Amino acid sequence: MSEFATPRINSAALGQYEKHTIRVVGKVKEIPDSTHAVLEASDSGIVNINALPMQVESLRNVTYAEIIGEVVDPVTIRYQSHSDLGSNIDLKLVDEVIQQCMRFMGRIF
Amino acid sequence: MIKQLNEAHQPHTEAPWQIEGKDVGHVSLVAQVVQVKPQATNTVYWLDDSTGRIEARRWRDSGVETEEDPIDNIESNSWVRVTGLMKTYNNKRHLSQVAIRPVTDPNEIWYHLADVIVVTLMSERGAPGQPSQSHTQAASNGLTASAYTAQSSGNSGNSEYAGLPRVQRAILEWIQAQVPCDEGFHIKVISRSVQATEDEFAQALDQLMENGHVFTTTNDTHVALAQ
Repeated sequence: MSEFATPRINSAALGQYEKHTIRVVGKVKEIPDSTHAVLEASDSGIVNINALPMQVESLRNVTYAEIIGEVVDPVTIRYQSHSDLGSNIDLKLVDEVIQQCMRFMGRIF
Repeated sequence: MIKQLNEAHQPHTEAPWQIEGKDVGHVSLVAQVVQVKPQATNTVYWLDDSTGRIEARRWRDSGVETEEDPIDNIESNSWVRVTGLMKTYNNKRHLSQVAIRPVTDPNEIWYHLADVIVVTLMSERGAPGQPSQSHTQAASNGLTASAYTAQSSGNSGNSEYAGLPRVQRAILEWIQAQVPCDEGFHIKVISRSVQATEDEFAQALDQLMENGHVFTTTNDTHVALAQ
């Protein structure tokens, strides 16, 4: 695996990537406080995001996002950056694509 | 994906790059720009598509004097579609002669992931289903689908030749796409436009002549389609 690899996974696979930096796609569900956000991942699993206040603020008006972060535990990641994916995403379809990518992890991805 | 480019194999310098044993020419990527570095003669983009990173170089318009390339509207961290050629310089791989544009619809990201899977599997297994059903452009063009090449060698609607092996079909479709010419076309010109090894091309041409699809015209080096 490249030193720069940030595999795109869903919430179910978080447990296999502890301490790794990965990407999850999902809907920003809520912002409970200044250093936490909650993401509903592409497979509907809930992922807790630990972040700095400025980073949490940057997620405030975001609908769908791909969040890059380090896996802290099977339900939590520490935020590094995100891509705003707008509001026109079919999350179920995206999850199907991500699942296929995970199938070919090591060969193509 | 960038991982595939970083693991690609070049049998010897000047030879085409190979991914999983298949030759590739132009490649197409969807990636995030980690860094943009405008230099004197070119702009260097450092790209990350989640599987790894690679540099891409785009030549700058020689008429531009200033430091900032005005054509550059690519922002750091943004998603872009990039096409280019794999090259090495000082033993480092990079994409050369690059065309780059911003991704405007994020769905292009998932589209590209699915596209890469389809093309990689098809180059391994061949087209899905019966040969005569060409559902997608990739199915009728085999290796030359978008994830690997920016230029396709034929038109997708041509099911007339769909039952033929890939190289034979590519030859026939290329000839069909040209302005008709009485003396036919030089086989060297055809071979340059068809993705195939010398042996594959020679064999395919022999088969086509044997089956009466093409015939030689003025001399052994020119062929035309049998209508």
